Amino acid sequence: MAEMNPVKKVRRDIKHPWGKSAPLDNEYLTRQAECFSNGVKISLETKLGKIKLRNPVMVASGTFGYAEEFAELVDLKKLGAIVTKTITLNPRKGNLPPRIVETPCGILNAIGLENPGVEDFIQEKLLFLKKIGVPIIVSIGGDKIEEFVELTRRLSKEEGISGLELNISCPNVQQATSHKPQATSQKLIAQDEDATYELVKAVRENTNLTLIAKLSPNVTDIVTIAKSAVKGGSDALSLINTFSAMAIDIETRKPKLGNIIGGLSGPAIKPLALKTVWEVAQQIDIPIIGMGGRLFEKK
Amino acid sequence: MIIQILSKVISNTQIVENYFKMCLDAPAVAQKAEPGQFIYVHTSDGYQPLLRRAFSIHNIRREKRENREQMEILYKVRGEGTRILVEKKAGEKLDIIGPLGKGFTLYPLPSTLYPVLVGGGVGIAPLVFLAQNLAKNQKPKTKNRILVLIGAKTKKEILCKDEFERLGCEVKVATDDGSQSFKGKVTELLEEILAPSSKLQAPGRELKKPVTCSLQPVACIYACGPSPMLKEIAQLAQQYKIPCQVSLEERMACGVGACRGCVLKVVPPPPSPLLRSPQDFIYKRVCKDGPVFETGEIIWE
Ligand SMILES: Cc1cc2nc3c(=O)[nH]c(=O)nc-3n(C[C@H](O)[C@H](O)[C@H](O)COP(=O)(O)OP(=O)(O)OC[C@H]3O[C@@H](n4cnc5c(N)ncnc54)[C@H](O)[C@@H]3O)c2cc1C
Ligand SMILES: Cc1cc2nc3c(=O)[nH]c(=O)nc-3n(C[C@H](O)[C@H](O)[C@H](O)COP(=O)(O)O)c2cc1C
Ligand code: FES
Repeated sequence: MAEMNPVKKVRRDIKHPWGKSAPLDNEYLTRQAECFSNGVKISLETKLGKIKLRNPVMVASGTFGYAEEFAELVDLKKLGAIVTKTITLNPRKGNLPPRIVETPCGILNAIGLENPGVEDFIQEKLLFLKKIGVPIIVSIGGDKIEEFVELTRRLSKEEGISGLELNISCPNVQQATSHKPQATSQKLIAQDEDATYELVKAVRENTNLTLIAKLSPNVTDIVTIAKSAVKGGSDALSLINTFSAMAIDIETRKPKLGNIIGGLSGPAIKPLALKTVWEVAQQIDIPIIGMGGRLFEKK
Repeated sequence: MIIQILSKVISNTQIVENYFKMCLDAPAVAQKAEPGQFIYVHTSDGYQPLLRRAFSIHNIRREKRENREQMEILYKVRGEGTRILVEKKAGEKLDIIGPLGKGFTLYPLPSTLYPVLVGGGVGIAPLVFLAQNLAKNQKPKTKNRILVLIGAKTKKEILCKDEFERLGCEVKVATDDGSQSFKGKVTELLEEILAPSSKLQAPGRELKKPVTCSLQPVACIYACGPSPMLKEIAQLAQQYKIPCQVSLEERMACGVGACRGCVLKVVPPPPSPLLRSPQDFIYKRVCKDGPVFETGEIIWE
């Protein structure tokens, strides 16, 4: 965990347990913390806006489903908080398969925000999430500001939700409404400082829940976007979503993903993610949830 | 219950060129496993390859001396991950998650009807475990009531014939090059067997040569292999109106149903099949809702 605090104020989360064995346990963190504090016990408690976390270990949206899928494998109560797969207003079918391609030390994905829509999420998934006993952060997404606002209003009425993560940075839903493999260069909200500000502000005006804007690394200057999100009223930032990328099958000379382009994650992007976090952390004062290539390893 | 453990490799041996059998000490996984389910193996100790590799549970056997259940996988060396597996020695530890997925659901059959198991290449792997279970469920008197069709490229690559025979199955083999038994694809062999006992044979379709088989008529099909083969089997099953389940492969990430990365197009369930437009479909997850599916629900690409 040496890089747990690369700079002051930066929080790193540790997430998907697919690759390495992933105990995700508090004890391990505590032990590490003890090492760094010469045996003096330190608390791992941390705060994100109004949310109190027992420890700073969270899961990244989309890698952990709605937690129930991992219930038999991971002691969910040991997590600091759970972030759900991104939910949209209406159900989404997602992209054409193949949706996953392995690349050197990384994965390309183009799931395309497949999800049951907010109503089914509340009816079916939230019931389980509420019972776990750790803060639940619901990731929300959409094409327009109005969709985010409507989702926010709907979810703010429900009990058991501590915060909203605003996924304004998913690279896989460009043209997602048409169920066709398409790679367009339509702009993401998180690629425009004004749109980011407007969206965060509009959501802020409609909820008291803790807000976390999730930003895209596919920009020239992420600090500007981060500042817009802060100005709009974001309580914390999630850095970063995946890098827009693609892979080609040299035998068939065709793209490997059904959607042609996708998002790169995994250890391959860790140095890139780390630099982004560092850059933003120097300029803004709100907590940062770091992600990108973090796998949990027990040596 | 899904578990993640460091299991000890008991043995890892080549059975024919490029095909290996690995035996693992993982009683907790073995006890829960059902035919058609798989384990998800972390082949490397580092980040490359990053993702786990899926292998069907091939065989469960009880080790007499220690009275522990051991589990075998049968794998073909294909790429990076399987090449690392080949190097694993007895005594080394392997990080596995399992048992995962939904396996075969056994059709209830009267004793006058027989199931047929069709395996192509390394697709034979889950069928040995399935045959074990089918044999266990049959009454002793009705032994030898399972028909197994094995498809292989050449005589050298015929897998698991002895295992099936030991379980009392009737085994037929098809080789692509005709180096042993029936020359042709295993799907052709299947049709030779289905057609004579059925009036549903496609008109004008000439059968090569009658295959003698004591187990007719066949009542249901369980199959695993490359997807073009499974697609043909699904067509035969539909033509001959025989229920059929197949085990599919898709590229996976999480393996437990969380990421929706491994999806397959299927026909939406009732209640409104009549209102359904032909283009209508839903996605199911191969890792969690499968890997075994009824062929009737699959929308083939
Ligand atoms: C549910 C399930 C059960 C399986 N059971 C067995 C088994 O019992 N025995 C066995 O030998 N194999 C089995 N497989 C396939 C096995 O997972 C792949 O052979 C293995 O992942 C290849 O890994 P690799 O690193 O050696 O090859 P890679 O370097 O990953 O790939 C080598 C080649 O195989 C292709 N490939 C890799 N994975 C898949 C896949 N999942 N589907 C289609 N093509 C793929 C790649 O595109 C490439 O061309 C199963 C797969 C699934 C999904
Ligand atoms: C399969 C998969 C699905 C994802 N789905 C979402 C999603 O729905 N919403 C979202 O904000 N991020 C999603 N992400 C991005 C991750 O939350 C995370 O930002 C990214 O993977 C980088 O972190 P990592 O390298 O540590 O995985 C997804 C990533 C993967 C691999
Ligand atoms: S691999 Fe993640 S849902 Fe199947």
